[in-house]
Amino acid sequence: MVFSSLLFVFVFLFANLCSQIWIKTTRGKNIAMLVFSLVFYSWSGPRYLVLLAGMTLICWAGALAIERWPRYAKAALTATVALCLTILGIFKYLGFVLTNFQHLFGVPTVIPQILLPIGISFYTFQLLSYVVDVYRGEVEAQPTYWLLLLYASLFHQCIAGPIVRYRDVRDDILTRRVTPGEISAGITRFTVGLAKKAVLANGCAAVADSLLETTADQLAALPAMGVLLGAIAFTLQIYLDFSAYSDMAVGMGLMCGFHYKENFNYPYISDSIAEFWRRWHISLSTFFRDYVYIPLGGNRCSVRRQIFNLFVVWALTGLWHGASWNFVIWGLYYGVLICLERFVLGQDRMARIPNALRHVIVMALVVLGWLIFKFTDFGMLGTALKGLIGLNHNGFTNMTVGLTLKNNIFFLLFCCVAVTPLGKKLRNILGNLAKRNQICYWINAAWDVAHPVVLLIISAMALAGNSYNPFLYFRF
Amino acid sequence: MKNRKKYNGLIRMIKIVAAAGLLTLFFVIGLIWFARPKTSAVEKRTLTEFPKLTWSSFWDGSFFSGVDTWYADTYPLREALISGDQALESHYGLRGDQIVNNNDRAADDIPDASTITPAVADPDAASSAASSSAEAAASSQAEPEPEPEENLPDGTIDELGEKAGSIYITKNAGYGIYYFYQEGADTFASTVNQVYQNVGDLVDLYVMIIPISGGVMLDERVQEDMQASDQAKAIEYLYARMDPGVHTVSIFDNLKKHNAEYIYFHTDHHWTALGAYYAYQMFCQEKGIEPHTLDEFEQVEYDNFLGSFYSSSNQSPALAANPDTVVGYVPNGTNLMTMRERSGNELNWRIVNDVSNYRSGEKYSCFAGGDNPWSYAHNETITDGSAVVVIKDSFGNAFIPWLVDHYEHIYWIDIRYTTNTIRQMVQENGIQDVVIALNIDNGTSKALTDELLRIGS
Repeated sequence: MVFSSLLFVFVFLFANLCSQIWIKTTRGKNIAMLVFSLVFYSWSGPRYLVLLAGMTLICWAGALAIERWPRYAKAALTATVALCLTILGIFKYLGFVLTNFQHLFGVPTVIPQILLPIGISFYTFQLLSYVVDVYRGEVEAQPTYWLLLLYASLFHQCIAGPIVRYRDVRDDILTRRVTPGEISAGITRFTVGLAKKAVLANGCAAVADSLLETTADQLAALPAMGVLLGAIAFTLQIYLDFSAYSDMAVGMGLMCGFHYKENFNYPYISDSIAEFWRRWHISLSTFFRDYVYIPLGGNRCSVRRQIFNLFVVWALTGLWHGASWNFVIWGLYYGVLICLERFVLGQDRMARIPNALRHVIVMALVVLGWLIFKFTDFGMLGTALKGLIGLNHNGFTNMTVGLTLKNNIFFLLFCCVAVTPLGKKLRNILGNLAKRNQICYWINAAWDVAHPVVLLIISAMALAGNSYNPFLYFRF
Repeated sequence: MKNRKKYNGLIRMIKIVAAAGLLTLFFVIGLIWFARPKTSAVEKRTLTEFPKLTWSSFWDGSFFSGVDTWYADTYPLREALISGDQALESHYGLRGDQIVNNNDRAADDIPDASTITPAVADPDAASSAASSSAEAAASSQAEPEPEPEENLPDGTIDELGEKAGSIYITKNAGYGIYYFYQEGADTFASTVNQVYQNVGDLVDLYVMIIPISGGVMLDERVQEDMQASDQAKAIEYLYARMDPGVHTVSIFDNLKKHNAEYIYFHTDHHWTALGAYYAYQMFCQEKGIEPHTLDEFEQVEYDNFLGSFYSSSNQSPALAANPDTVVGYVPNGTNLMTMRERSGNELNWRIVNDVSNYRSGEKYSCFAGGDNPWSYAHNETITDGSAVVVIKDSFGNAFIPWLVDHYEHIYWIDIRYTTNTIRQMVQENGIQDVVIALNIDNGTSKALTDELLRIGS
C-alpha cells in the first residue's frame, strides 16, 4: 500500500485512527497498531512479512543476549549485525554482485532474479541502530518481541522512512499521550504532505517522465533544454515526493502520539554541499555518521584517514539507494564534493563567495547529481549528459519541449517556491499578526480550519485522476 | 483578547472535527458498493473489477494491489473528482497549445521510394497467422452493452478500439501526429503482397492507406519541429513496396488540396465523410469509374461530437470549446444494412445512422454501423451482380457509404474482429473487388498483419 492512494486514506487510515481513539489502554492501542502495520506491510505481499518478522526476531534475541551476557556482548553484536546485513545483502545486492562477477569472470551463467522486499533498507537500518544502541548502553533492550516488531513494522515509517531510532520512540510506544494541539498539528502536517505528493510531486513526475523516461533513441533526440527541463522537474519531484512521505509520517505520528524527528529541512536553499546533506534525508546521514563514520574515526584523525572515512560513508550511502553502479557513483560524487569543500576550499574561502552564487552552484551540482541518480543504465546516462551540453546536436530547444514548459510554467514555478520555506514564513507572519490584530486573528483561524479540508479534497481529486503514482524511494 | 484562549481551543476543535468529518464522509461514500460504476463513458473503458482471491495472488500481493486499483478506479465520486482535477490542471500553465505524447519511440527515416523494390511475400507466416488469429478472434469477448435508448442500442464502447496516438492541440483543434517505423511498414507491405499472391487471381485488390490529420492539415515546418514523419513520403514508400498488380489508391494529394474544408474532425482522430469523399474520388479514378457529386446526396448533421482527442488529452478545455459536427451523406441506392456483432447477434441497421441521442463521444459510429465482424448492404437499384468487400479499420467506416451507389452487394469486415476470409466470400458471395482501407498507423505497423494474412489466406 502507498500513502497516496484513496484506499489508504479513506479506509486504512480512517480505521486506524478510529482504533487509536476508541481503544483506551496503551497496550490495546499498541496491539491494534501492530495489526494495522502488519496488514499494511503485507499489502505488498505477505511472503515478505516472514522476512520482517524474522529479522526482528534475530535482533530481539541479539539485543537481549548483549544485555544478558556482557562478556559475549561483542560477539553477539557482531553475529546479529552480520546476519542482518547478510540478509539485506542477499535480497538486495546478490543480483548486482553476481552480475558484476559474471562480467569479470564469466560465471555464474544464470543470475537469480530476487524481488526486492519492500522497505527492507529502512527496517534493516532501524533494527541495526537498535542493536548497536543496546550495545552502547544508550537504551535498554526490549524484552517483549511484539513491541520490537511494532517498532520495526510501524507503518508510518516502515516503507519510506524516516529511519527512526528505537530510543527516540520507545517512550511513545510504552506510554502514549496525545494532546489536541498535537492532533491539530498532525492533521495539518499530514494533509500538507498528502497534497504535496498527490498534486505537486506527481505533477513534476509527469513533466520529468515525458522528457526523460523514454527509450534510448528518444532520449538521444532531446535538445539541451529538454534534458535540463527534465532534470529540474526530476529534482523537484524527488524532493517533493520523499519529503511528502516524511511529512505524512510525522503527521500521522502526531495524531497518534508518536514523535518522529524531521527528515528534511528545505535542502534546496543550501549554500554548500555539506549543508545540503544536513538538510536532506537527515535520518540516513545521521545513521551513517553515528554508526559508520564515527566508529571509523570520524574527524578525529589524520586528513588522509578522514578522506578514507568519507569515501566509505559516501560509497555506502550511494549503495544504500540501490544495487546499481550509478548510485555508487552518485554517492562518491558527493563524497568528492564534500572533500573539496572541506579540504581544498575550506571555510574561509567558502565564506568569501557571495551566498547567491554559492546557492546557484550548489543547486547546479545537485541537479547534475540527480541526473546521475536517475539513470541506472550508463548508456542512457551518457546520452543525457551529452544532451545537456548540446553534444547530441539537437539544438537548444524544440517545439515539444517549449510546449511542455509553456503548458506547465505556473505549476513548475509554484513548485520552485514550494521547496523553499516561504510558505512557512508567511504562516509565521500571519500568526504573529494574529496576536495583535483582530482581523488577522480571524483570517488565521479560518485558514487553520479550512486548509486541511481543502487540501484533502484537492488530494482526492488528484489521486482519482492519476493512475500514475510512482514513489522513487520504493526500491529501498 | 482574554477570550483568545477559549477561542483557540474552540477553533482547534472545529478544525479537528471538520477534517475528521470529511475523512468519515469519504470513507462512507467508499462503502456504498452498489454506487460503484462499471464503465467510464469519458475514458471509454470498463473499469477495474474486484480481483479474484487465489493463494498465489494473495501470497505475492497482486490481490491486494488489485483491490487498491479497484477501490480507486470505481470510487463513486470518481468522475466528479477527475473533473475537479482537470479544472485544477488547466491552470498549470498556458494550455492553449498542447502536445499529448503517446508514442513509444523516435521515428525511423523514410527511404526514398524511387529506389525501392517490392517486398518479398512471406508464405511461412500464413499458417501460424491463421491459427493464432483464429484463437484471438474466438476469445475476444463482447464488452458490456450499455442501456438502450429509443429501442436502439447505444454506440459500442470501443475497448479494443483505437486510442489516439500523439496529438498536437492548437487553436482549439487536435491533430494526429504520425511516426514512421520501417519494420512495421515492410511487414505490412509484404503481408499485402502475400495476400495478393493468394487471392490476386480471384479478385481485384485495392489498397487505400489513409493519412491522419497532422500530415494533411499542418504545415511541414510544424511537423518537422515535432519530429513527425512525412506521411505522403511514407505512403509512397509503402506503395512502392507492394506488388505492381495491387491497385494502390493515392489520396494524400487530393486531401491536401481540400484541407481548407472540414475533412478531419477537431476533437477526434477520424476523418469526416467529406474527407472520405475526396478519397472516394481517387478510388474511382483508380478503378476507372465516375464518382458521384456531393449535391446528389441528402445531407444530415449531428452536432456536439467530442471524440478521441478529447478523451485522450484528459478532456482538454481547448477542445471542449470547439465540438465537432458529424455530417453524413445518405447513399441513394439504399440506406439499409445488416450487421453481425461481435456477440454473434445479427441486426438491421442504417448505413448513415441517426446519432443525435448518442453520447457525445460516440458519434463517429454514425457511419456504417461502427466496427463489427461483418456487415452487408444490398443496393437493389443496381442489378449487375457487382460485389465488393472492404477490409477496414474505423477509418473505413466513413468511406463505405460512398461505395454503396456503385455496387449491388457491398460487404465490409473489420480487420480486427472478422472471422471471414476473402476466399470464402468469393465462394459464397461472388466478390470481384477487395478494398483494404486502413489508416496510416495501422498500415505501417505489424499490429494487424496477422489478421490481414488470415483474411487473405
